[in-house]
Amino acid sequence: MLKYFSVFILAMGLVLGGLVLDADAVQAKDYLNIAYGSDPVSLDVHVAPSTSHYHNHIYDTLVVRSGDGDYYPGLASDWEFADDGAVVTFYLREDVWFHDGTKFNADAVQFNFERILDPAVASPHGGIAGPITGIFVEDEYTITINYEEPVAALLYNYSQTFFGMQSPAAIEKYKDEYGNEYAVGTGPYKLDVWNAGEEIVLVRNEDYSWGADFYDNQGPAKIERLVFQNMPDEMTTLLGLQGGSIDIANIPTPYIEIFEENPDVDVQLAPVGRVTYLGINSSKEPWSDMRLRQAIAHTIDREEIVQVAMNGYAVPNPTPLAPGVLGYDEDLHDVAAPQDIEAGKELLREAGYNETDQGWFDEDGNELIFNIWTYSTDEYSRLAEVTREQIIKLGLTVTIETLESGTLLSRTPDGDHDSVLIAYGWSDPGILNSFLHSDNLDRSNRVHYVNPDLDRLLDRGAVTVDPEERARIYHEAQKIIIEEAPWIPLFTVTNALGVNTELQGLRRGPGGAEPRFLDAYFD
Amino acid sequence: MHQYILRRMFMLIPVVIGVSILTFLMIHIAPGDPVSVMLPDHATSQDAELIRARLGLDQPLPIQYYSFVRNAIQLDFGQSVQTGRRVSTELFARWPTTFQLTIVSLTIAILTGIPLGIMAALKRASFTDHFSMVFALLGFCLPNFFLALLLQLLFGLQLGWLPMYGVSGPIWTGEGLKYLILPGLSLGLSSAGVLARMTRSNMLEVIQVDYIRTARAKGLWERRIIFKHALKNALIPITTIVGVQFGFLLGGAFITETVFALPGVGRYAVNAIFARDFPIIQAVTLMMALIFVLANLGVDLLYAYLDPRIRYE
Repeated sequence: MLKYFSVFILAMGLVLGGLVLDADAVQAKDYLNIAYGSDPVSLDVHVAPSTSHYHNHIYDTLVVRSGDGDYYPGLASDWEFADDGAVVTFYLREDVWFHDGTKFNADAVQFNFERILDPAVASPHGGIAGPITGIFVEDEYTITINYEEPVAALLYNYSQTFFGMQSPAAIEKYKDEYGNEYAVGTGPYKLDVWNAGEEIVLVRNEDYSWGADFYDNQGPAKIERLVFQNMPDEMTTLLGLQGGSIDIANIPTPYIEIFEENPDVDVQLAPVGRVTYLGINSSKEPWSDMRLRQAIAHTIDREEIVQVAMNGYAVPNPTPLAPGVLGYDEDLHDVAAPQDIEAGKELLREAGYNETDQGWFDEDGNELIFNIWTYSTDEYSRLAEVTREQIIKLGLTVTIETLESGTLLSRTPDGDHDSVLIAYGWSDPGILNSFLHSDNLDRSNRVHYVNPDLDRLLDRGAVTVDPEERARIYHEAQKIIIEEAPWIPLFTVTNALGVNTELQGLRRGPGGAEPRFLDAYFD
Repeated sequence: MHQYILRRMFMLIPVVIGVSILTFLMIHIAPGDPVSVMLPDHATSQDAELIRARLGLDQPLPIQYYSFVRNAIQLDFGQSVQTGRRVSTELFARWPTTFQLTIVSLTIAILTGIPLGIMAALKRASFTDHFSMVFALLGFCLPNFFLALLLQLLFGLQLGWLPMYGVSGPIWTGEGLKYLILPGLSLGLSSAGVLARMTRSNMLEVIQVDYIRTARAKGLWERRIIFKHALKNALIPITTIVGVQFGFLLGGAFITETVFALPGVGRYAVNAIFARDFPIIQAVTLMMALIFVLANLGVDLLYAYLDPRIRYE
């Protein structure tokens, strides 16, 4: 209700605001105001649990993944696999300098990898660095890394900003201050200042000349300063975008249509490799019975969920992987259970439940109740409501419990929930290992799903380097996940970025979410 | 008097110890630990163990509490679990914003609330009275964030008179004050509502008592009667409200700080709660407890000034 009222207020603001603001001609400017929601944990990417905008511009990676998912040379101009992928050699660019004036070379790469693996640093990304057995500097610009076994996701992982190259000299110099006061990489922008809770200011790296090939511009960025403004409140951010004091901000789905009518804001829609799914606790009675999970799957109408809960700004997707990710397969859509309430009811009967006016009961008279856990944000609450309305058609009692995100993440490993409505964003299929492999029951396997066949496939997928073979493995894995329904994938989100119309040449990074500014300029 | 103040200060010690134990226990009983909040999905169990060990979270609770107390005595609240930044440094950096916001909003509350209350009481059942009370009711009932939004729309987006969000320097520079007017209004008007209603009812009560009638009978100026005799007596309960309000505001106004993107203590604390960043939560809770005790002490001392019959031994 509040949301709709806010929409109304914002619409009112647009009408009134438009009258006043049209008069202000926007001057060509050399900086951008970009809104961000919350401060990063650190600007040290080896330690930060997640990366965003600002990290991406400060740091470069060895390999760069373009918006369409191809790998391009980054700081490594070439690479070579040997021993079936258990050995990789990176040939580095010779013309790269860190922001502090030190030279980027194989020693720097070795330092960075050793730091990620250092137990004292305790990087959360040590695992995805691969089972490294040795790092060898061949010559000034050649480095070889050996692994216990091939790492199929190697290029993807190393293209993540977590593996951004940080200046060894700066890390040694600033010690604990590194990541807070200082951040030194090789990227197109340098850290100017970070006032926590207020802003992060980046300035152009004038010496930059090593932009990846898919950019039009390999040299210094055209825009001089990026001012990231900490805007914790959604409405304030949108008012700022409306009023022109913010140039770039994410627009939540309920507000997209309003901004499409604003001539000063360009709404750029891009699919994001983020899958939202209903995960059912497959170790908890009675949902450990596959038929019950399948019955729930039979109630889902993804098109309706997308239209009602997401205002149409999402793509229905019944498979665990997002389009564009290796192993995503349109054919798998046919494997997913179609909406068929009768078939769902039949499965419940088979599992020994009887339908009455009050709901479904087992032979001992216990009622079957389906509980959905989700985040307490507007978006997830709305999503859970719409999903419940569909499942209720079985005649089942469905309850929703919304939890603050910290509580949800900490309590799902205990396994008291029937199901959890949640999302993930990662564009390599290897991530399914985290969510559905029995090795991760204590943490990220929040649906407590145990299936040795799937474990075997996921283990093979992690070490199979050949893309076609790997895609086949994940095809099989996804088939199991869809059929046995520990996950009922719902959709992939479309991200809407509100951008000042004067700004041209903005590119989306891999995964679609965060913009890159190398080609961007003011018209 | 001095002895009284000393005794009150001395009572701070048990309060602080009690608060610290309570917060410590509550944080550790509540679901969620910082590591599971902080870990990305792709992290392995081994990554998680390393982080837990680095943060000292694998230590038993009493040991964690002991090291917290040992440091806190030296005014060192340790480092944020998440960012590794020193909590005391961060708190002091955010303190000025919150303090200035408190000053601005309390000033607004007092300058609008009390005069409105007085006018309403003096012109009882008139248009002024109804207007003031409707204003008070609105100020009191309008949710903070909603009022904030309306103010931003009107004065920020539409009229362009005042900045919609953010901070810029301290309030004694005109520019800095400009940034705090809208946040100050959205916070202050609700307190103003409470103050207006309290002032009105207290004034109405006081105006009818015998000594006011006596004052009138001996022919004192009406103005003197109201301000010297009536208001001073009516102010006593209001002082309590202002004091408590002061304590509240100093603890940080989370919603206002969020809506107006102010880097204050309230937002810092709430973010810490979401992240289960307990060194910060402990430091802020302790600080708030201290402020409340001190604000109450201040109010008690003001009583003695306002009402000479009240003495502290």
